[in-house]
Amino acid sequence: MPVPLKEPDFIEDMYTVSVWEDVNAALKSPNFKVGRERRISTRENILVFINGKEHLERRQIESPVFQRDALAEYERLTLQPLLDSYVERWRSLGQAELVHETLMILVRIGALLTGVPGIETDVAATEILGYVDAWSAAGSVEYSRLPEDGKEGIVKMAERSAQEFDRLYVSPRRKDVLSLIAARDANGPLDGASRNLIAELLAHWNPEWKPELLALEVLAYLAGSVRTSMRAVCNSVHEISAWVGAHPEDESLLDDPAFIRQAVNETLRLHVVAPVLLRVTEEEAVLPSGLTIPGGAYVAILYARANRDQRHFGPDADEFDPHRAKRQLTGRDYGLSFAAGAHACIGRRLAVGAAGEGDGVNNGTVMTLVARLMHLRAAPDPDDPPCQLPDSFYDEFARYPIRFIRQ
Amino acid sequence: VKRLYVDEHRCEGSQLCVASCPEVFGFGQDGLAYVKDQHLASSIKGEDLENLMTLCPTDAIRQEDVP
Repeated sequence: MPVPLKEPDFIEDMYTVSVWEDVNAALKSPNFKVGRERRISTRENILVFINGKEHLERRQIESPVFQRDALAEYERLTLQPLLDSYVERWRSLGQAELVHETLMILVRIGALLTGVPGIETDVAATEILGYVDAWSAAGSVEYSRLPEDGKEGIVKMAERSAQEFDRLYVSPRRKDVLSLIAARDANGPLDGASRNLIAELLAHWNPEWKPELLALEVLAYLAGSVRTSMRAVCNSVHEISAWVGAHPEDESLLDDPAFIRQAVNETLRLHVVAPVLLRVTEEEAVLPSGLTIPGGAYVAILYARANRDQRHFGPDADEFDPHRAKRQLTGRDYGLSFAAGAHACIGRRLAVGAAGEGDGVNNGTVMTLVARLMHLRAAPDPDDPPCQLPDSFYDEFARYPIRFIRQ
Repeated sequence: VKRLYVDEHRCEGSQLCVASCPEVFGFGQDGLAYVKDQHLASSIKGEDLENLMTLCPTDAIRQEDVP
């Protein structure tokens, strides 16, 4: 069964790029800038919306948080114990609501990696998620069909929400973190598990940055990781359950990490985390297919279409097949779902890891979560079927009740 | 003797290597990084080399033995 392809309607007036080679080239070209028409103060000067040298320097500052050794330690010391506590509860109940459970786990992990401590209960995680969602809502107003005053209201709410998040969770950390940085400078580098986004940014703070940038980078990171990873986990469970239902001979593979990895990659290829990547050309661009785009043009990069290119993924590219990687096709297993080039997803290794790369590897949060769920034989609850979020660009479930067949 | 190289199948063009070590790495028209000064690259050793290799988000910076 082909997986439906969702595309937003706000791209109608833009140039579109959808051929694999063109998408790859556009994403890697410095001529295709991230940019927006509408100025939204809660998005200004954060990593995902800056370009060129400034972007590379910021990415260098933030990247130690996502390096192999730091993530391997994080998985061993933080992720596995946290998952153990959830698995124990799931085992005792025999069921769970996957959207909620995954969000709670991911917010707590995100808070630790960004350097916001003390998020240890669902109540605290839900509060953080509220701030993240308010920040995210302002990102889509540029393209929404709301009246102008409605758009302004959402932007104002995001600004107030970001200020409150800063006051409650980020500003109080500055003093402690600066002491930690002083100790690090005196005693050498921190070990991997001690790295976090706030510490790395404060250690390399540029006096030209506005103070609120710290909280905005934290919100941007959480917005880019929490709901996206939740969708990846739920869609993976959904696809794998359906596959095993149709291919019962593969049930024994549910305990095989390589099979789970391939299945998650295949899910990511088909259920992309964002509907489109938007760019603005600096000057005229000629892409490998011959497509010419003038300078100053808004461009919708439809990487979800490229991910289904039959030349690279086979004639059944629209379908889910966890064994696709065995066919030695030319497309990368997860396609271009983490983008490419300077703005490629900084959290890719956190999400899907670097398994099979030798010592000090990490397996990835999404991979680890899905593996634990499938080990317990998570499957949709037949008495309470999952329901998709209506009218969404995303392949996102509003609720996903599951039962654990293996206790 | 070991040679530093950028695995073109892994490189996704993040350019972090170029930003960190512009004297060693270049960035081609094809959107991929490459080692432009092998002599300088071979002088990077120990922890500095490890840091450089782990900086790449796709683990594209590699070493191989050369006869």
